[in-house]
Amino acid sequence: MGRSRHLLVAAGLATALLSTGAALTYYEGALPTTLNPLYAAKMVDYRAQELVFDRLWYHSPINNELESRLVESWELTEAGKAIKLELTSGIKWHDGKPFTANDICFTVTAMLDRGTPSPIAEAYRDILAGCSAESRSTAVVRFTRIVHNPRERLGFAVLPEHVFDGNTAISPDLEFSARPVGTGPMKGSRGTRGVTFHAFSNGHHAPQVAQQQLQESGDPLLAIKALINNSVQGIIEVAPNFRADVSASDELALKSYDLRSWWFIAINGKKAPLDDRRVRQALNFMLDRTELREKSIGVKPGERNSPCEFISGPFVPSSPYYNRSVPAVERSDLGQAEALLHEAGMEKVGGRWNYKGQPVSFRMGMEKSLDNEAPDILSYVSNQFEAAGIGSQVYKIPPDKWTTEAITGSLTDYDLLVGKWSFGQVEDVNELFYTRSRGKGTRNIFNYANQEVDRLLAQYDVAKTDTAARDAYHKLHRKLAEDLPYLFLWKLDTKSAWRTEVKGNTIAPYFYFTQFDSWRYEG
Amino acid sequence: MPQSARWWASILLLTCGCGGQPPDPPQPAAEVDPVSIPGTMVGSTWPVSMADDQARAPFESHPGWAMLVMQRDYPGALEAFSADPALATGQARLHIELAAAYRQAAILGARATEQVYGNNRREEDPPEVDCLLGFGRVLLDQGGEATPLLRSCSAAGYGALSEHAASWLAWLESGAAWPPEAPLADMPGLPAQLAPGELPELGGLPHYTLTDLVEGLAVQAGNPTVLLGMALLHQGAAYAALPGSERQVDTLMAPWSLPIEPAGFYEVELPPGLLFGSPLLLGADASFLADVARDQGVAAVGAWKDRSPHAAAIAPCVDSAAGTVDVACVLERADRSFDQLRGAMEIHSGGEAGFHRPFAELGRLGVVRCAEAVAAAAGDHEAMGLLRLNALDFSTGSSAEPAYLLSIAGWDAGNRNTSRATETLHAQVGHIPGVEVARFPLDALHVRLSRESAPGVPMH
Repeated sequence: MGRSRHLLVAAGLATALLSTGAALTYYEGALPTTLNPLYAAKMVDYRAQELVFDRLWYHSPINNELESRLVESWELTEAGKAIKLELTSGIKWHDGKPFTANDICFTVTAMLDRGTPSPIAEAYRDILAGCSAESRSTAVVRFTRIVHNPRERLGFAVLPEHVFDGNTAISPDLEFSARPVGTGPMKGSRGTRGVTFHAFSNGHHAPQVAQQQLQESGDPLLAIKALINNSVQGIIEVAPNFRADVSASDELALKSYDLRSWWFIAINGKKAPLDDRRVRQALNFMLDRTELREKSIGVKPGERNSPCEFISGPFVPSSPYYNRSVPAVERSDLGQAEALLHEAGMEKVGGRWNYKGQPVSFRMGMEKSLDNEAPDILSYVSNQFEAAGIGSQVYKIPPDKWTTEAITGSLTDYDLLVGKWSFGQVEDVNELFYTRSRGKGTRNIFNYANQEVDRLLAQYDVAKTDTAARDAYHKLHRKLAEDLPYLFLWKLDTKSAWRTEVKGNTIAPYFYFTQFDSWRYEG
Repeated sequence: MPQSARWWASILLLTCGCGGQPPDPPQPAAEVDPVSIPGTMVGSTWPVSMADDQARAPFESHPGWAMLVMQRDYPGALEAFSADPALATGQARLHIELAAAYRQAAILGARATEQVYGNNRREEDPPEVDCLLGFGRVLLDQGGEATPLLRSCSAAGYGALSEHAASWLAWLESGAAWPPEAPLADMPGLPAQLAPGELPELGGLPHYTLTDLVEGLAVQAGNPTVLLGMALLHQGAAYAALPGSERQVDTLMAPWSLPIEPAGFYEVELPPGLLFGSPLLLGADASFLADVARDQGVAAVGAWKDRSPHAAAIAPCVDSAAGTVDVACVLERADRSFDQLRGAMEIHSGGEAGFHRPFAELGRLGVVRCAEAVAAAAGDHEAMGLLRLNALDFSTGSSAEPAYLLSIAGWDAGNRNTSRATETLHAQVGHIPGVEVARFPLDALHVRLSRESAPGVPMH
């Protein structure tokens, strides 16, 4: 090792030691609605929870290896229908209690308990059958069937049994949602103005950032200025409009964040005249997505490598599930729109469309934080409808209300809702479009119901082969592009910005803070 | 100012995002060793040479360069270059980039095939996938594992698949003389020759439609051999565009070679047109990388640190004895290279200019990519991975080189990280439609892995 290398290492160590007292602050578009991993509904929830909890298995953001901090060794048992886990020793919960096999079994049992009304738990009920603790350090997790790559299925965050007094029916609104107890690198506490995280050294974690603060960002321009002024050190989602400013600064670095996100306008098909498919199709032709994208996202005409690509169905265009034979509507076609509205029995009077003698006007909403990524999009959409003869009133919806009412299908007084869905490796859209009943359709915004769509979703669910699953989703894509419960807009990639004093900040796809132990703040 | 030059300047301005206030002048570095590139080398790098208006003028005044280097608009650039015989270097450069990209797409396709039909084989998979595995393994230089598959495939009566397997088998058994002419000759859709200035598209996809064994559904497949064929054709076109350039082309191609391919290595000088807009600062950087790629590995750093700016930059970060690369050190040195280049350009230009930052950023990217190659050769996979992720973050705008991005996608496919790989490949299909061939196995892998993952629900 050369002398200069020794100096660099020594300097690095000294800086690291000095910097452990420094607090790192970063902006999210909104505060998390819950820190309970069973009730994550937004990506900000997942990201915050990744700091507080350990998932049983996770993928390394560097080489995608399947790794576990909680499990020392494992073996398949019971003819492949169960997996025996030997836990890593010396792990403590944030309240100092030891982590044991009972905690893993408690988590599995809680997910299987129908009294836990969690969509995430519901998704696990198909593959998990139960769990038994053979000793304090040995758990056996059982599956409903023999599955390929069983460890891949065990990506859930582990919860502390003692905090719930063994009660496996876990409610979303417990104190635990604000002040959880995990085994992750940081102990988190949610307040009204942010989330505070404190480092918690453990047998399996050695965080180098002593304290971290999550704050809500507000205006994106002000957020960028705060980053440049070093008032905050990171922004999780930087709107495309502001990425050039970040790139132009020597103190900031733009970082890729792999997330599959697509945008939509959900249509309330339960209300007239939107219950008529021709009206929905007319709205689809009224939208000039090219203009919307230019004005709101800042995409230049003819720009190559745009971070924003139009879609015609519920997948990102790079996905194998995306049906590339269904074209996206890029430009408005008011002639087609007019023909469809006339067909649907509507009349244009004085430049305004009337339905049953009354001018048509839609109540349109959007979760407030999306304005940071696509500034003023709600107004631009409203203007386009207005120019085509449809009135609208626009509302920004607080994040909590979005989570508790829009996603749950309760915002039925709205006609249109602008939104975004994000996915990781799994692109299962069934929860968005299944008829809402008996644990299905948990994220069906306007309670859309279509038998043919349900049939295709069921085909995907029971597909024995990959080809059958893919074929089912290709057909679903085509059907949804015709029936239009959503106006599909675009996929938009995600970039973060961090100050260059933040080092070692490897960002994990989807979960973000998986590798937080390597993060350092040398500010 | 000519129109094309104005357009070029505006593109640079947009890319660097410096439309308002000029950037702050470079600050003196506070670290112990502010020098990353020896002073004698800095002045001869292409960014500093081209800080001179006259030296840069031929590149600014011709739209072909902007289309090639800034936008990777290959058809547009080729048309622009073809109209001007004096720009044969541009034409050669374009064919070199495509030859590299097709090679990386071939590796991506082969690795995805291995993951989906080798490591994750399922009862539904058609038996013909053995042939595809065999083709991929040949390209990945796993002839031993490929031979039994090719033998059984060639005897199985699968029509074109069997014939192609027989060609590869015969080639392997006859000593594997490069290039593999017979296997390439029977690839449908592959032109026999490619003249400089031609940009053929690959037709006839999918190459094969197979039937799954459980439900009898159609499974589409592509043959990665065709991607190797396209790479060799473009490499030939590059030779022809710039007669006498074989050593230069081979050296530039070495880091992108397929595992089965003999990698070229020469000590070369490169004309400005083969370096302009690239992360390589001097011809010696290309030779250094080629030296790493053949079998020198870490030892190449010591051999080239007095001639190659990038080797000099990373030398203090490499522990030759341990075979490790210090990631933090590399990133620090890359920043120093950036500062040095920008400072030298400013002196050369007589003040700040909008192009200084993007040019210096390419230099910084080059340091990280070279260190990544050294880490890979040394077997320091952790460092290699971290450096790749950093290089990926630096690969935006004009720094987004298709061959490099496809190489990341190939690495991802081998690591079963299909989310990023599918996104990367999809973006490159927009530039180079032929790389679509790699989509068949990658898509199959993505669907398989997503169906075997922990359950996920859509998140807002």
